[in-house]
Amino acid sequence: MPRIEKLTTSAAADGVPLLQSISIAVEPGEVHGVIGPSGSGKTLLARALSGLVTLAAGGLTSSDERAVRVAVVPADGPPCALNVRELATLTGGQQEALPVPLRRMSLALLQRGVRQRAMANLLASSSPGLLVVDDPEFASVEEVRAWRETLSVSEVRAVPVLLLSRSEVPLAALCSTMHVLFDGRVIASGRTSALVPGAEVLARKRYA
Amino acid sequence: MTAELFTVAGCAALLGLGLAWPRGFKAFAREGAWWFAAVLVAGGVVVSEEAVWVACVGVAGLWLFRKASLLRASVAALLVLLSGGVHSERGGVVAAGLALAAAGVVFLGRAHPPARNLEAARWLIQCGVAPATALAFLAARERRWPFLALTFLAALALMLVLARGNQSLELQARVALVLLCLRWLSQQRALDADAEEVSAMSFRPLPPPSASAGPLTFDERPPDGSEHLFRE
Repeated sequence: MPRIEKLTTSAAADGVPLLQSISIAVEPGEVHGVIGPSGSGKTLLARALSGLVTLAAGGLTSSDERAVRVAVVPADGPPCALNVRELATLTGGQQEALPVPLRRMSLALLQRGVRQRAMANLLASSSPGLLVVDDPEFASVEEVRAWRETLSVSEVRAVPVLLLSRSEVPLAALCSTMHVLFDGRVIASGRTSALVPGAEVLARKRYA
Repeated sequence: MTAELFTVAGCAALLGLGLAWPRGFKAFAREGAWWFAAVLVAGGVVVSEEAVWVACVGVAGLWLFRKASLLRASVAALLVLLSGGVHSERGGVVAAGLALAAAGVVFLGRAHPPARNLEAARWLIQCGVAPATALAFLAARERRWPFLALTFLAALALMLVLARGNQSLELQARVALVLLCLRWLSQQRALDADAEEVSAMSFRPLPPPSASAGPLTFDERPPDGSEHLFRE
């Protein structure tokens, strides 16, 4: 089980770290949501987990104390030009799970939600210790349903997943546990039904 | 003529704003700009041939500004070439050359900020790709840049020939040529530096928390002293 423990980034210009003492533990097969307004540190958390940001303290470990590899689906596509087939070949992902016309397409040309789900699918099949999706596309009811399908694919189900978003209702439809991020701190954590009961009721109605 | 153009542009901007702004800045950038461009060209057709040409240059610039790529640069150059042909045959060719050269400078400038390439390597390594494979993949991606740069240089040379006799255009072409050469040289230097750094990379997991931190329970009070708002 990967555990993010007291993750703190190095101090910003004003001397205060942007992320402070973030602690989240996700079991394999669980989907956790991190909800927070713009500027709360969601993308920074994704970058910190993928090793792109220097940490001042804390980190990531598994219950058996082994190193955890974190695969991140960035909000705006991969940081280099890639098509689906290339990503599958590089990561050992199962491109067979994706529709044939999709496989030769550049990831940059795909619609945002389709791209993120294809990447989540491929990266999950490379068996990372934790799969993080930064700002998943929740623009429509269909998008949220498509996410639900993606998260139920066996490869994705086998890994712990962390979704980072501003939208609580779609997150409530997808996540068993939620963490509220505000000003770089987790200010509340708990089961979705306890933390955002209203959002869960809405989600059940809207995405049934 | 200028006043008419401003009127058309103003109407287009208002329409773009009115249709897309209420849905946020991203929606405006994505859709409003297209409404603006469409109305600008349509308005240009009504006003005069010259206005069409100006509008097409604007649309090509807008398209390139949103995302520079070789395909876009080529299509933009073709658009300007065709619309320039309406206005003046030679002027159109020269304008197309300029558009292509500008696109080339923008394209090469954006294509490879060194930090981005290193970030890509780190991301690939975190995704489970072996460092050597990530390096080989990124290097293969970069090998095409010299060919692209040569294409743009050829386009510039053609433009220089066509712009003979027009001092202003010749000057612009020379400046673009120097910029492109400088950009190309710095690109090569950055690529060499990147290759060294990526070679030295390996999968570096985040460090485990220090032993002194002690075991963490999720009932712990947040570091700011506030209570958890919700509990199961």
